[in-house]
Amino acid sequence: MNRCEHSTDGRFQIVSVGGEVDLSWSSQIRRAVLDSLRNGDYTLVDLSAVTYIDSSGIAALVEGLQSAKRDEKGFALTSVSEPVMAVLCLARLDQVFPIYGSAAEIDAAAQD
Amino acid sequence: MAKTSREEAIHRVIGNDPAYDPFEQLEVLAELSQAFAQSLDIQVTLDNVVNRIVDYMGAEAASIFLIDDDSGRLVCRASAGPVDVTGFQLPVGEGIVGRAVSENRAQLVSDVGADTDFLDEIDCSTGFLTRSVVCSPLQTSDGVIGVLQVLNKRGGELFDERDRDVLRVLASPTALAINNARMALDLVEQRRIKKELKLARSIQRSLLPRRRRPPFPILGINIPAREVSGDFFDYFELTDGRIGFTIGDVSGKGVDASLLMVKTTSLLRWSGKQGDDPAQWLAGVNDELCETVSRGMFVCGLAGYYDPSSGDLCWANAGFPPVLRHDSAGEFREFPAAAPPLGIVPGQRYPQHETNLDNASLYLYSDGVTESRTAGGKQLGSAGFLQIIREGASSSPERRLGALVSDLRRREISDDTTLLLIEDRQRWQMPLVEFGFTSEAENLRMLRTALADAMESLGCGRTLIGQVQLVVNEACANIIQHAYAGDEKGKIICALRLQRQFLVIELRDFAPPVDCCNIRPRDLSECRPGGLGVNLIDSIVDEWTLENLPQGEGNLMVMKKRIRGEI
Repeated sequence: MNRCEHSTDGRFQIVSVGGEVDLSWSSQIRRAVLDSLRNGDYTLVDLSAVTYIDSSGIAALVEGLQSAKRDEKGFALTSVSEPVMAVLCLARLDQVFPIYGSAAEIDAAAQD
Repeated sequence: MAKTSREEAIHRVIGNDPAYDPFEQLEVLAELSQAFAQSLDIQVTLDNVVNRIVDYMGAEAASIFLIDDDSGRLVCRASAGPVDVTGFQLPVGEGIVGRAVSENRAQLVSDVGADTDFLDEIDCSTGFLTRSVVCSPLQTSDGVIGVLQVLNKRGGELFDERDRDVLRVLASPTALAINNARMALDLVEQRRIKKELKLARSIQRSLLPRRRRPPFPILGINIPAREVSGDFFDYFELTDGRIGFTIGDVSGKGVDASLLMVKTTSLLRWSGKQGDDPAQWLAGVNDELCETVSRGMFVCGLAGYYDPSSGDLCWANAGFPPVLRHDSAGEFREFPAAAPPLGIVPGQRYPQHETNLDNASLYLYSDGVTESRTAGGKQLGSAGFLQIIREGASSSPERRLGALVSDLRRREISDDTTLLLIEDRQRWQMPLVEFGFTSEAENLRMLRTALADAMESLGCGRTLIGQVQLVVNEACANIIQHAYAGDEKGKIICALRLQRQFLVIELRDFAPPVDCCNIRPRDLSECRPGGLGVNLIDSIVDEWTLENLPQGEGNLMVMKKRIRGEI
């Protein structure tokens, strides 16, 4: 079932996406990501429950990354599911997005 | 008063006789030229010449002898005077007329009695009495074509040198007029021949079988090197369901080859309908041709049957180029001829070849295909032909042949070019899967699910299913967003076909024509949202095309993905 939920975890704003992301509702994800970036300094997009993503969904994530860079905020993808990773790799965007396993992994990396 | 240059010129030709009026000469020249210009009919021209000249020269008779191309003799083609000598012939070199040709010089014989070359044959048979003769060769750029002759000056006078010179002057426009009339005749003849060849070509083309719609498994093409062709192909159905096919190439080109082509194709068709084995079929036709074909002509030919129910093919090959089998794995196999051409050795035996079509394509082609040349003179050759077949492997047979014909037409075709393609065309017609839906983004999920279900039932692996889902989704998203520009009532049809080693995905819309040139992948080094769909499609499929359908009937996107035993 498609879902796009917002939550917070310490310093992170988290957008959790699930289901099949396509043109029919990717605009919701875009809005949720941009709203989240306005509300906090670090947004994570949890993609663990995404079973399919198309280029319109990827475009929403790219727009989030660009907005974060412009405003000097944190942005990362977490728990990227296999189908999403396959598409990111096809578009060579796996080298562009910061990708982590979880929020805790980001904190641990920051302490190192 | 000083003479004008024109007067001087005339003076040079006709001599220096003060009693002679050069302007009278000019007048008759003008009259003759005008008369010649009025008719291109050679006989009218000749009759005109002799009648005017006999009057002008004040002679009793005049005649024109022309050299006959076939016999090489001088033949009288027109005469004026009391006796009609039209048709009288003599060898070049005989008589005073013949001497004018052999010496290529005007002749003046004031008294024929004193000239040993004079032939009195006509005088003896007609009672005409020849006293003096003037004649002048008719010269053209191709040499002497005949002689203009004038006999007996009226009033008993004898011809003199001035008469000879006058006749020389008159001979020039006469020769020119005859030449023009002959060229006109040649032109008419050429037009007639051209018209007849055109008719022959249309009759010959009507002997080739008409193209049949799928699922009929045979397609043929014939490109004649000249108006008519020595190549042929044919196909016909037998009552037992088998399909007979023949193809051949008669030695030589042009009319003689085309006549033998007509005979051979009729014999092969009649004999093939008896349903005998190809070996017997060719043996019978060979014996018949050996009995009747002459002048060293022969026929390289092939005849066989295809059974659509089993896919079995058998044929016999008499000196025709090898049959080429291109299988579904992309491998080629050649079946060379095992016997000499038809029409050479009576009693010849023709071994049979057999194969099963099994999703392969069988190409039967005359050597005109492989001998076609580029503008630089490079022959297509077998390797080039295989390359064209390989490149078109994922296209339908019609498109593949169309591409081959376009390629050949860009080349120099020096020989008749004929090709038969035998293939299970049904395969190209029935899609594995076909969906129709409206251009709403909400339908994309349904489409992906339907694709996955259909492909799973065909035994496709997860990876292939995921890839096809993604490319179909991306292409449909583009159709929805760009071709239909948000109109949710547009229709989209998605079909999957299996074409050899390719899975072919077709997406048809009914939107206004899209600008195909502007659809291309974006630079992936730029990090920006949007425009990634084409990159994803490029990275998954082996090739794709987008075309605007004729009469604004929408757009067709075709994507081809090579599969390796995945279906």
